[in-house]
Amino acid sequence: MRRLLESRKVAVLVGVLVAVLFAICIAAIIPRAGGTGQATPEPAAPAANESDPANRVDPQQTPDSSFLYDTSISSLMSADAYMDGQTVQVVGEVVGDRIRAEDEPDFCWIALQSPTSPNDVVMVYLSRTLTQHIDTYGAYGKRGTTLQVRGTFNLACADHEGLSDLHAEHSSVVRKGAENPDPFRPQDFIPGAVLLALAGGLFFLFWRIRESNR
Amino acid sequence: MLQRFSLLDLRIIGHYLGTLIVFSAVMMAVPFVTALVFQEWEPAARYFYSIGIALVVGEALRFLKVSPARLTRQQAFAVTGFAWIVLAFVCTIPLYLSGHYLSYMDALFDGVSALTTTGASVIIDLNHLSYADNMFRFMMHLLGGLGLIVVALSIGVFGKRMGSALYTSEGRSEHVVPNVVQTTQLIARMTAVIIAIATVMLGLMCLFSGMEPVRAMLQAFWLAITTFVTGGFSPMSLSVSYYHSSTLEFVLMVLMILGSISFVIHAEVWKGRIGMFFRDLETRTMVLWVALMVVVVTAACAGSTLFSDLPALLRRGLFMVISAFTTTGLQVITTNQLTTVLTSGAFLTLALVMAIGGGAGSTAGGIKLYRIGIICKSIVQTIKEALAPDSARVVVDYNHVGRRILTPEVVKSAMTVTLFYVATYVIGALVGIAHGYEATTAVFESVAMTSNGGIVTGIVTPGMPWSLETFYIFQMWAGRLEFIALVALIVEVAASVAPRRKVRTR
Repeated sequence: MRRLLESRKVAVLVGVLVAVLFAICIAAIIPRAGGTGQATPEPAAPAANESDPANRVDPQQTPDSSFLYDTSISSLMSADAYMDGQTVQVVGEVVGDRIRAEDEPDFCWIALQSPTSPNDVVMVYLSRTLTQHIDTYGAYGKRGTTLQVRGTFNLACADHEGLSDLHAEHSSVVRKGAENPDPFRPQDFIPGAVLLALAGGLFFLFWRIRESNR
Repeated sequence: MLQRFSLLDLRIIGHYLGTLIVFSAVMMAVPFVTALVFQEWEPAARYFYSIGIALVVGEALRFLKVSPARLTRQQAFAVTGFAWIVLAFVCTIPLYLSGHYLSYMDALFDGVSALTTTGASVIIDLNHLSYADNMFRFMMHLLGGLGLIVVALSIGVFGKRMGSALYTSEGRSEHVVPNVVQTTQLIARMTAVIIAIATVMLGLMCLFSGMEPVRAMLQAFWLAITTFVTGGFSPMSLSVSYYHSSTLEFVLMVLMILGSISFVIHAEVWKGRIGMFFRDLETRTMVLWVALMVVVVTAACAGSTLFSDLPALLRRGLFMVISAFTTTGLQVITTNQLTTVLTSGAFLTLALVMAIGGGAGSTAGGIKLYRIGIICKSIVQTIKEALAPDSARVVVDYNHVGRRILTPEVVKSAMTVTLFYVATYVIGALVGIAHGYEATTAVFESVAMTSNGGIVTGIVTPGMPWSLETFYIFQMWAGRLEFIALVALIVEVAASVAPRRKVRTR
């Protein structure tokens, strides 16, 4: 009897589960049938894209310069051939001098130093008018103007005998330069003066001993 | 039996090292004055302090032997060998305090690189370095290029009686004039004249390119020093490419070549004996070797897609070959271009050119063209002997400041030093590889260090592994001393440290 009851309970449970699953399936089917749900992509659509030549992926396509890389000077300093000829945009401090370009009086060279990695410097070739807003060239005690420069990067420039450079098209000031001259602090010279006095004493003693030995 | 250093030897060596350290304080006075002139007060205080340290340490060491006797050959080798590293330790103090180095080890690397005229640098933010610090770096180049001992002898640091033993211990054997002190003075005078003329020429070019007059003249002076002593440091981090001037690059190439020619030949030319220059074994070897290497590098570069046009090859390729062969280390292409634009063939050819180096008795490093010429002559002699009848005596001669007969002693000496160089190149490369770097760059860097060439490809960077940095420092030191003085010193020290064997008596 107990077995019978147990088998009935199982049968009831199975029946309830089947009913719930059925209801779920019905609920899922009804919206589709009514056309109110989200439309699935039509199987014909990919075929239409493949036939459109303007929308094909060309695996042979080389990178063009129409894309702008907002990159760093450090990246340019370790660039490979992929970056050659790309339009890039970098930010850096102008250091050194404005160097006249040979045989091109309207153009010049500046050196742009990375603000994060000071050993990375890129040579920038630009027109003299683009340098007019540079107020300070970085050196000892001087922080040069920080520029944002956009232009074409050349890993080995054909116009400049293989130089790795950046031909600037646009430049703008990010931060003005500043001069920080060393303050004169007499107390900084005291340790040196003490040592010099000690050395003088030693020299005198050495001279006295040597003279007395003669 | 190997000689040991006695206590007296050590006291005398200490005394002369102290004298050299006092002398280095005099050298530091140049950047100190520079700092005062340009009102760079922080560097001025730093150099004042460093001068004080050098004087105290130097004077204290001089007390080890108040009245030293004349140096023996053994002591002279020790003074010369230790001088290069002791002075580097002292000269590193103001550099380290400048804040442009990550560690004292990095500053020491630059100090040794400056004195040995290697030219590789691990400085940070060179473009913001003070005039005083730059002046000091180039003063170290000048001192090291001419030779610490040569300069010290020429201004009488060791007195009038010292000379021959010290002079030969620094890898120099040629005598321009019979007296060693006069020879050193002549070398210093020739250098001063050439650097003065070059400074004026380069200064005018820098002025024309738009630089401020003070910067133009200072940078011209530093460029003149670095090229003539085949150093390799540059005042700007972009090296020579910073100046964008083909005329300036041409003048620098001429200076580098002049610097790689033996001072003896310079003296002969100054005396009007120009024929001697063209007949010299070293000159002929140089012409053949450089011509061959230019052809090889050109052919190798022609395979590159980015660096194969004639103007690029003429301007960048030729400069790099001359910079490598004179072991100067100045660059007109970036470190990145060395590894990405140049073909591996051109890259390794540059390493080979650096490995051979310039002229013996000059400021250039490497194995030296003279030794290569001698080895080639020895090969010729061997072939002639093989072909000649048994009774014949084959004599091969060569021109090096006059006609000389090739003797077994000369060949042995050339072969020994060459083997030392090659072994150090190989060991240095293996050390680089063991640190996880690529084989080609490890080989290149090892050659650049030992030959004091200084063209680097990215391994020598601020904060590099200290073990590799230590080995590179050793390579620069060994290469500058051309091994003999250093090996003699190491053997002497080892023999002195080793316990004495007890003699058993029955």
